[in-house]
Amino acid sequence: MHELSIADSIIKTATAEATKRRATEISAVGLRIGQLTDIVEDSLRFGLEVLSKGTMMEKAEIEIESIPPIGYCETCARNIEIRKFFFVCPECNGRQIKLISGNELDIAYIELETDDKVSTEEKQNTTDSTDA
Amino acid sequence: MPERIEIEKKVLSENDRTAATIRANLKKRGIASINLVSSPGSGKTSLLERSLTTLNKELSIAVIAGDVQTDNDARRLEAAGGTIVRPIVTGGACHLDARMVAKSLESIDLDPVKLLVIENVGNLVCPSSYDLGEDMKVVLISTTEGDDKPLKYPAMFRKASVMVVNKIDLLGSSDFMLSRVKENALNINGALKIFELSCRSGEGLNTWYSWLRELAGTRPQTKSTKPILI
Repeated sequence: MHELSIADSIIKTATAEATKRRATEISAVGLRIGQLTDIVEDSLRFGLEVLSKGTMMEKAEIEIESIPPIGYCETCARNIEIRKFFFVCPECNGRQIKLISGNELDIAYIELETDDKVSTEEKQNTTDSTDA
Repeated sequence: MPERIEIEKKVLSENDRTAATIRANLKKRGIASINLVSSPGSGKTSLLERSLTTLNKELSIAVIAGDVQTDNDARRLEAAGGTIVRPIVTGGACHLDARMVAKSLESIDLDPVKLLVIENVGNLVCPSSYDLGEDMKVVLISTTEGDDKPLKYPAMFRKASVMVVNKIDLLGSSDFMLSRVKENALNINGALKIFELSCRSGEGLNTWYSWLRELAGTRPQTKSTKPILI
């Protein structure tokens, strides 16, 4: 059920970034979600659809990249695929496994529509000043 | 043409920032902290009741008790001898977040506190995503549940440092096998420290109390369950 809170955080973060860049609309949002986060994609999409009404993200296309868990076996010193969330090395049966990926909950990118009236030069200045 | 911007932002960065502030504040004051998580009914409140009754005279423990509705748990903990108990009623939310904890901490005089216990909302899914600024997560499971729960909720068991198996007085009354739950949990997280106890019979509680004393008497490093000997 925390997909709703996650959706809310995504919208807040994405719209803040878009506002900073003087965009008028967010046309797409790319998310990277690790499989270990227990986020249900359908619930998240539903949450985003409901909560984005009336925001710059209302029409945004949502792309979700699901990241499988990868571990690092400290005994064998190599990366292993984590199957069924078993953090056990298939080679040495070791349980000293460090998580390399699978816990992501990131906004990778946003696609922005900007008002034509705002010149490229002006946008450049805005970006520069916010980065500084 | 739409412009694509790679922003690479963590969705929960705001929560993580607040959690980092809480963690730094607690560390500065030498307060150890645990985030207690479980399914509803595993015995989080019972374990805290027993712990408060036994340890309250020697150790100042602050408890933040989260619940979806009612402050019943907080009242139970006060009745058990808890002197610093703050309820958080989430009003529907299935987890606590760092902002709720930070707000609750503002109402606590932290000077005498040695140990902070955050009793999360009964739920093994959502609380795993939210860092509350604690030193470690302690996951509780009871023998009246399935011994495959670690496999069903791997994220929580992976992120926890400690697993407590409660209601061991009822072993044998169901198909729950202690060896199986331990095997399942260790396959998810080989570094888990495990306690077996019964809040009803009292069995195993002394080991748990000793661990809490050690935890509160030292300044544990984040994510480490090993007490530091002074």
